[in-house]
Amino acid sequence: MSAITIIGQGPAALLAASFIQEVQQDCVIVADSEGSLPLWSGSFDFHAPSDDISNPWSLLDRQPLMLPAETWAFLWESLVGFERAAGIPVAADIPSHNWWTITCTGKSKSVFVVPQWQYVQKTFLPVWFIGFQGLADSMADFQCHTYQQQTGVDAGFHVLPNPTPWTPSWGPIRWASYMDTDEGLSWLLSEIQKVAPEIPKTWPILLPQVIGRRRAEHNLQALTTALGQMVFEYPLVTPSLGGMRIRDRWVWYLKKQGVPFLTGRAISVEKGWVTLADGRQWHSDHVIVATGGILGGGLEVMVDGRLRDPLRDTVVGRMPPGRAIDLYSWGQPADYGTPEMTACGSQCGGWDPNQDGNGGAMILATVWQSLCRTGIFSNLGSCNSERSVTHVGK
Amino acid sequence: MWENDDACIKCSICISVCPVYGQDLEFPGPKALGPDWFRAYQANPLTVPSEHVDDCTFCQLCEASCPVHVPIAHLIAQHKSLKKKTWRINLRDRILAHPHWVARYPRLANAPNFLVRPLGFGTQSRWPRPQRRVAPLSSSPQADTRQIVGLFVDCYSRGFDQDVLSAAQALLELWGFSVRLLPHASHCCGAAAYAAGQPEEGQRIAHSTYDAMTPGLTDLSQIVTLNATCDSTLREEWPLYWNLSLPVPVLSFSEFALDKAPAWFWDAMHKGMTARQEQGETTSWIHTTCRSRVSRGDGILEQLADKAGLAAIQPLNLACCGAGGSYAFKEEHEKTAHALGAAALEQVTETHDRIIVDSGTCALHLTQITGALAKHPAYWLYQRFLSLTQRSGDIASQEK
Amino acid sequence: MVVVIGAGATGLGVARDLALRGVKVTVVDQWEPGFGTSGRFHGLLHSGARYVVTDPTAAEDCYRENTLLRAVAPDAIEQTGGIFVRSEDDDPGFEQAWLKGCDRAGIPVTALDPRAVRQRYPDLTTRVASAYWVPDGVLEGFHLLQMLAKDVLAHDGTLLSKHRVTAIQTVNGRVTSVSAQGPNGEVEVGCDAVVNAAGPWAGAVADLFEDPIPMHLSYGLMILFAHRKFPVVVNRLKSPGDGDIFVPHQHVTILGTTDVAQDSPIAPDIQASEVLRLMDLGRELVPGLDSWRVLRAFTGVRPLYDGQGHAATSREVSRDFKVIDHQRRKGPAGSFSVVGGKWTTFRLMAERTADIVTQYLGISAPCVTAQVPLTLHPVTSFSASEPYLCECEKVSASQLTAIDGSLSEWRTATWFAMGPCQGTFCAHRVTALHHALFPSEDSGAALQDLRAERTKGMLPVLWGANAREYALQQAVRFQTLAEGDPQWAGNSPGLKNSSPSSEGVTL
Ligand SMILES: Cc1cc2nc3c(=O)[nH]c(=O)nc-3n(C[C@H](O)[C@H](O)[C@H](O)COP(=O)(O)OP(=O)(O)OC[C@H]3O[C@@H](n4cnc5c(N)ncnc54)[C@H](O)[C@@H]3O)c2cc1C
Ligand code: SF4
Ligand code: SF4
Repeated sequence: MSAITIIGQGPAALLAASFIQEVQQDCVIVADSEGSLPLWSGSFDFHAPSDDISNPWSLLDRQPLMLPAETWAFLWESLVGFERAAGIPVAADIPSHNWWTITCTGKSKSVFVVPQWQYVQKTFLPVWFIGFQGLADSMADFQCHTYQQQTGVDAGFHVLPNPTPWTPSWGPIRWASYMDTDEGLSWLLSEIQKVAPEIPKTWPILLPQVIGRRRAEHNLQALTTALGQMVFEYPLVTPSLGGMRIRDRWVWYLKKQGVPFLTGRAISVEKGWVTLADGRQWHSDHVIVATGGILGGGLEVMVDGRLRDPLRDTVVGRMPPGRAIDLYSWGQPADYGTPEMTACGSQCGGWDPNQDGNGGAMILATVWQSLCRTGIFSNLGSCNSERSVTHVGK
Repeated sequence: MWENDDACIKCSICISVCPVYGQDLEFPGPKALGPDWFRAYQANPLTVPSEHVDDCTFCQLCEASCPVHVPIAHLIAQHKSLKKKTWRINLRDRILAHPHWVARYPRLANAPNFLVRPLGFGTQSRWPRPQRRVAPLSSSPQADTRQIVGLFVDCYSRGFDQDVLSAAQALLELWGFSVRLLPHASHCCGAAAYAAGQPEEGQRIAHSTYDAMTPGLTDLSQIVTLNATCDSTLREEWPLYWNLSLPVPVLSFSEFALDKAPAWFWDAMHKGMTARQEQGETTSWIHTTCRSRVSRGDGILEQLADKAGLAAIQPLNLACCGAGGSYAFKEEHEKTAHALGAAALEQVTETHDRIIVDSGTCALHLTQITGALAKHPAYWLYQRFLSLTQRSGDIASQEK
Repeated sequence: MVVVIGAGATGLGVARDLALRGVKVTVVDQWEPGFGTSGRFHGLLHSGARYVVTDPTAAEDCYRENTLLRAVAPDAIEQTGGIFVRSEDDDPGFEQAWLKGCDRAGIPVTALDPRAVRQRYPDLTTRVASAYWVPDGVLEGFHLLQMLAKDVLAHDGTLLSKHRVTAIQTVNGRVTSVSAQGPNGEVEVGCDAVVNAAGPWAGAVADLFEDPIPMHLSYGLMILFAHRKFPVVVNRLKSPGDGDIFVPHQHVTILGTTDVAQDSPIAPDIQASEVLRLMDLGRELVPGLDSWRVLRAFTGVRPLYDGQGHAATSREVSRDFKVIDHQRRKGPAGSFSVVGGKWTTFRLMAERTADIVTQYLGISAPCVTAQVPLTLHPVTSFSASEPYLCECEKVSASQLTAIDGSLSEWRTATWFAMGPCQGTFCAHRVTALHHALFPSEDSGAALQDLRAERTKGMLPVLWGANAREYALQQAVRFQTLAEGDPQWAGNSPGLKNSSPSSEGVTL
């Protein structure tokens, strides 16, 4: 049916599809559930130990996959390009250093390519946190306390009371829907204006990441203008509006490009034949398995501790008796053992974003590895053997 | 009771795709109404049902998004079934859960307003008008009687969308199949009752439909459907929840067409007025309904429209149009249903545009909201075929 | 003044019994109420039926106490009833002995139609040969502990948490005081008598009396499932063994248990092989057990008393209990131990102990715990103006702040972090709230402790959806909340003093 089939619709799958449609090849996405984007803010991580990462070579020993600097640059530029094309506001240039973002618990975390609605700083600066009383993950007092303690920098906070239509069932998405209404935005502005005199003018105001689902940038801009002060969001836990906005726009962008998003559970892939649980079956030249590892469902953990790859009905490993394993290190080798099939994203073993803060780099590098095998990069010249991929493992 | 009914990992992904949650500020959302409710209900069967549970459209988008396959929407349907309702709402819901009653007597839908309001029917969504069959093809080619295809006639097409029904029938015959309409009297797949929180009634209705269909099944090669909801109900709820297995594969009209329509037909569709010529006049907006996205995915209608040479194909950015079968006909849902569909207005601005949508009720709803004609792909395909062949001569000569 | 060592069900029970008789008491615990076996329960309020063949005395005690507790502490007991199910593989001979035993012990039993039972509980094996209803119930252990503790305080008693008893002082062979080590150093509590109700640590406390007692410790493994799968307790009708009881506890189901002899009062790390064995046993009653959403595994140590010498296996050690007056053996006057027994019989154990203690003290006040009801001190209920912090167990801020206690006391009192997400989405929220009330405590460490404690129970049962929950939890902790140590999580000490610069970012 299609030259390339991508199984999964998480960030790895969306990135792979974007590359493929860019070179005008056919691809079809098939997934049996959502990918992981709504679970996180969608800031693609790539931590560098030094402040300056204009030379990504400095990072090589930290990544499981050795890539030439220009390949890294190409990949990051492509990601930024795809995001911008999809209407996700990321800066046009890839950063030359890591940014710090602030978690809802007040900790600093290093991030790399980040949409502009999210607050990031190069060094620790004074900020003003705003929390909403009826939003469980906004805990501005605690956040402020932790931030001050961790960074030694001054900070302040306010907790805003609930708007009239609020009910206890309001989670982040509900707050965001409210902010998409004119009523919501004016409520927010007037509440901030009440406390604004206490906020130093040069400090950015940080709001929980619920300032709109569709109108976030518009809302933040409107607040910034009205208050004469910078206003940003800090990311929350799932459902994360940052990741949802990226998902919504990226998927829509690909659909408009004509990429089909089939729904179904792939139950086997054999010699290019993809079979779904509902009986549909087709042949592809290449199958990219972006099924998300243990969390995404690409690997099943059985009661006895064996790890099963449901696509090939094989056991790929067994957890040690204490089961205290590092979950990401499990996965398929990138080449999946068959020429027409490759794994990428969390399904590809050897990376550990939990420990290394390199979730974004993992997606980029593993997608690139998969796509090299499909041959679509051949004219880009970066897949040839002398600069080839070395899986150094961990 | 069901597989994975306790598997929820509380990731909230389902909330992120629920169209009603994004629209209605009081709707507690799929996680709260489905798995969270079910856990409380299993611990205590006297748990009071949520007052908002009926506001779920049963679009099943939540269920399709769930990484651990919790049957969220079906749990919500069970939740609905436990809610006490007033006699008047009960009566109304009973009528709406049996759309085939209305379809059997289409003129019922002309019920005057003084009857409609007190029963809790909405007045914003206009009721469908019964449609007369369009004139059949003058020179229908001889059917190949070796391949008999069953055309599942859903209650809506039967009662109110005869032109779609006859277009589909004509096309199938044109492609060389002999067509049998199934079942021959008005029946319902049971989806409406399930969506309204009457799973047991749905099962009863489905079983009687199954019985009505069985005599005509033996020599069929395929069952072709014209409505995404019925399509997925026959393929999913029937075997999974109602223990009904049809001996013949079920396929939507669109997928059947892509797979089985002969090459000469596609050639014919590209003759005459080309897509380019048409461009600038009409945009073909595609809305894959929620139920068809859930069971088959997005992009199939686009593929069909493209193969059929339709111009300026654009997907509609709409998760659920809000029609929800009979959902939009209930007064308490009017606001949400309208707001959901109104999102289409951001894209569809010209009333001469066409909307291609794989469900009759959704089509009706979208037409009412946008002013552009929304119809099932069979209708558009046949229209285009007629206009092209009438221009270029005899249909029979197109063959072979 | 009487010092009771141990704030488990037995210790608090003894303290309450004495307090109601007008005796002043102080309960000392090395940690918090429920830290020992009482907080690691299977939650079964025995009808006694389980023991009618192997341990008739325990069976009779259980049944009597079961009936009594249902009357005096209804708030802490769910009268679910229980069923005994014999599978076609089990010995029909035992069934006959069991029926006779129930009859002898006066335990009401109703025969059920096996077909109806299978229909009613579709999760059960299709091999049900016979089934009976018995008056089993479910004990809300944490509630009951709280009720007991509150009642002790309300009767002029004192609770000394986080204090470990290190020495017993005597004068002329009589107990005069107890020394205990706590966070702020050692304290000495003067007293006329000491009751050792230290559960698995009772042996160690008896050593302080210089009168060792033969304890037979064994630990049991239990597996917790996310949903309440049965509305009743389900027992297997065979000689009591491992993995033969499912207890519905609030929203969850607990499968238990195993029985492994050991020396330490603290159970060892959970072995994978034992988890699998328990699952194998559970599957004999519930064939589809693997598809139940599992949450965690945990262990409790049984403080059995081996009075007769050494039994071959702990299943053979009586579930009966014993009150020891150490003066009659080698210990000082005024030192007592209460050992053995069950959660179900805690009141009876307390009554017998208090009888002996009051006799020693020369006080003649009768036991009233069989009549005076225990009531649940109302927990502040959810107010409509706040969100749930713990969505799984529906816990809001005001419910938590009404409790003056540690994070772990908040947890056991409300069950936050104990539902399907195992704290993934609420641990940080509740920690923040706790911090607001107790700003001097190290909230970062408290959060890490809570996370570690949750992880410990999840790891041994990391399969199916639980493995995915764990993967999500790890990602939330480390990638979203930066709870890890690495430098990229902003924890490098060098970063603390980096000077602010004027550079910012624009939208
Ligand atoms: C809470 C959280 C926070 C995170 N924070 C960050 C961060 O701050 N920065 C960062 O860079 N990264 C972050 N990540 C990203 C993370 O590290 C991974 O990189 C990412 O989630 C992996 O995405 P994926 O596309 O490989 O898999 P997924 O997104 O899990 O996608 C898997 C897809 O496969 C489908 N699938 C599985 N099996 C089948 C089958 N048989 N048939 C059909 N479809 C199937 C699933 O339905 C799903 O669509 C975070 C992740 C989480 C969960
Ligand atoms: S079925 Fe549709 S409307 Fe109902 S809860 Fe799920 S996503 Fe929402
Ligand atoms: S039902 Fe599924 S999608 Fe919804 S919260 Fe639970 S696991 Fe996530």
